[in-house]
Amino acid sequence: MIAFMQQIAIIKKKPTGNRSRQTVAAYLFLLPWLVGFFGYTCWPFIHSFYLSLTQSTLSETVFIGLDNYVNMFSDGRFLKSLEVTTKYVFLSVPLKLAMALFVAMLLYRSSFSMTVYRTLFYLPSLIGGSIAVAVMWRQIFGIDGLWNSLLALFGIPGKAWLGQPDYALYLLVLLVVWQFGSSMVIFLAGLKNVPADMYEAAMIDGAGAVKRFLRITLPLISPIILFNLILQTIGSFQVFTQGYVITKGGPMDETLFAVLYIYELAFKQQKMGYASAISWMLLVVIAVVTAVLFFTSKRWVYYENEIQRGR
Amino acid sequence: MKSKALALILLAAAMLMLAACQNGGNNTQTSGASGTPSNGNASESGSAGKDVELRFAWWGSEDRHTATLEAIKIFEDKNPGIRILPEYSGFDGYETKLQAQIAGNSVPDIFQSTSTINSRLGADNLLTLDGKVDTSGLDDAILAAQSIGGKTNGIYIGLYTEAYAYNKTLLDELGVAPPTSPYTWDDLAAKFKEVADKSGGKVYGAVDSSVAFDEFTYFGPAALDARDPFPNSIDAYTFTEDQIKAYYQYWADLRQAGAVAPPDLSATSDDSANSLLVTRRAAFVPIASSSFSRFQSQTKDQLEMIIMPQNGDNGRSVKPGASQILSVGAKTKHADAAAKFIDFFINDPDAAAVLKTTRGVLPTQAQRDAMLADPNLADEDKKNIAILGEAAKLEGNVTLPPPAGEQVLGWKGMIEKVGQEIAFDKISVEEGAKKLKEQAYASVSAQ
Repeated sequence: MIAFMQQIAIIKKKPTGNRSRQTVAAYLFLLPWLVGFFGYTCWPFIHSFYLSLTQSTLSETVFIGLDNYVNMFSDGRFLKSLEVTTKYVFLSVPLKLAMALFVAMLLYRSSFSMTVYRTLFYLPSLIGGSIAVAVMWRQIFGIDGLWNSLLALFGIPGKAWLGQPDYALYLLVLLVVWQFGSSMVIFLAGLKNVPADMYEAAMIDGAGAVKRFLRITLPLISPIILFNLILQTIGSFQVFTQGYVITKGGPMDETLFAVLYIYELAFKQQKMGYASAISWMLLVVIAVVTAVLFFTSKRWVYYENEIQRGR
Repeated sequence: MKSKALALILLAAAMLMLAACQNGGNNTQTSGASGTPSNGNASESGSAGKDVELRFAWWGSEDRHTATLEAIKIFEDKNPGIRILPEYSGFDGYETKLQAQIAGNSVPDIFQSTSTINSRLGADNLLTLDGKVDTSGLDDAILAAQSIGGKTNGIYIGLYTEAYAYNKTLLDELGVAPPTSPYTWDDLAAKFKEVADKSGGKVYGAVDSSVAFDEFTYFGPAALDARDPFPNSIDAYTFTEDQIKAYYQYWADLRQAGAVAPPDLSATSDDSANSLLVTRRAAFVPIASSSFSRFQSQTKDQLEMIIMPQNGDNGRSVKPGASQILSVGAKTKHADAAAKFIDFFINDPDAAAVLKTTRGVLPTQAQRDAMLADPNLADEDKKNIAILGEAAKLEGNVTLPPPAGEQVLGWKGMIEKVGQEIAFDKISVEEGAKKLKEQAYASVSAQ
């Protein structure tokens, strides 16, 4: 009772003092993160835009205006890297999401064994970007690897698949599609939000499994699909590790991803200005693709608080 | 109030712990050339009580690392005021790291390099070592070929020559006699075909050197009678379109005959455990003689080396060159101590006893004598010395570092990228030769 009276007295004494002290305390706690953000994210961001307007080896910098941006369109390797990256994104993202959704549907029922399977399917994406997996992939598809041994069982002669310009990219797509775990987990969460009575009603009306999937499940999880789509697209455009470790830009630049090309320009050829320009161009490309995804999403994404679809 | 204070205390404790962990781990990287903090007078010998610390970076594999660490220990025992902090790694990415260190102003005091790498680092980032190191035991011509911008800024620490390493055990199994020098590129082609035939296509004669492990520099004088400077001078490339066309055609014919590995296999072969030599997919692979022990250590088969083919008419080839060099960063704070270490590395017989042939044949006669005096000299070392002795007697071109610009020749250079396009049937040999010549010549003027 006395403590309560004391508290009221304190509150009454300094009504605003407490609030501003809380604000100050909040900023103090945020300070380490803010320093990191401005120092290691914001500043390099701005500096790289400045660098993109120069020809630079970091020790010598010469301002050249928009020349980098103009020259990049006559650079065969840059155009090739855009082509490779776009092919990769358009192949791997839909495949990955389809796999994730398929497996999520299978694991939808909760039971103990299903929990175990969920974890098992999620594991590859945990160890995903690691060097160890990349090296393992290189071994499996190497000339003496597991895949060739399997083919040999059917009498098909093996090749060094990762050295084949026609196949190398698809093998990297396969690697990343194998790591669908994180999308799968998000889909599982979304599937749980679909009310079970909808399914019951549909089943009473005689709808088959396919119809239920197409007419109920898909529309109701379409926001989740959009979320995963955008997340995976933005991530896939920035693929680097697999290209660098497994194929190093691949036979004849067939796996020269955009970020890999940027790395080569910046750190092997010391063309920092040009590399920065390409990074910004990549940003523009990703932004455009994401914007297109958002605009077209109005036609197929169903949010429950809307009265009609496609408005 | 209490919980706020508790939170603040916990946060401070966590940050302190993180800082402590960081510091302990980063010690070898950042303490660099801290040296002695004196009043404006930089004391080199650490007499103010604190050791002079030099960072020394090199690349190599396990055998070289072990030998180098032992040599460092011997040096530190002989020079109590100097400590060497080793930074070693594989070759892949070494130059990239060095370039990044230059940009970030944290170049190691002493680093292993090659004249080619130094030409890309620039003379400004290298300390001039004229007069600081005792180079009387070194060959002047070879030493001069390592300098960038006319100053002595790279001291060679080993001699090597390119050689064809072959799997003697495999050749014996197939009933193929190994080549004996002197021999020509045509003889070699016949050998490759023989290996492929006798193994029923299971073992290839060699890796395709238009796609990986390029040997154009040696092909020129021996098969095409190309003369100095070949294939480049210090400022420009000098090879002609016909010469590169002949090179590509040589390998195209061998591919046609199934005598060399197909391009996908050659492209995924590497310089170590996945080498076609080690995995028994090919019988011959060109290597730098200084890396022979690396290959031998990965297989139980007996490997041998033979010098590159020579010209059928005049016996010319390419003279041996420096395997690696040691350079000192221009901004080092301990130039004298660094020079002392280099002096030890190339002249001291005790260093020779542990370094042996991990970097090729030792650069000075004093060291070579010390090593030959060792009764337990390993076979690999003997082979290395023998092959270099043979190569040193040859007449031939002298290899110069390439002009600045994108890498054209050598492993993973432009010559291989165009070679791959030819090998994968995307363009013809004529088109490829034209393309490479134009791109190579253009890469110099693009600087």
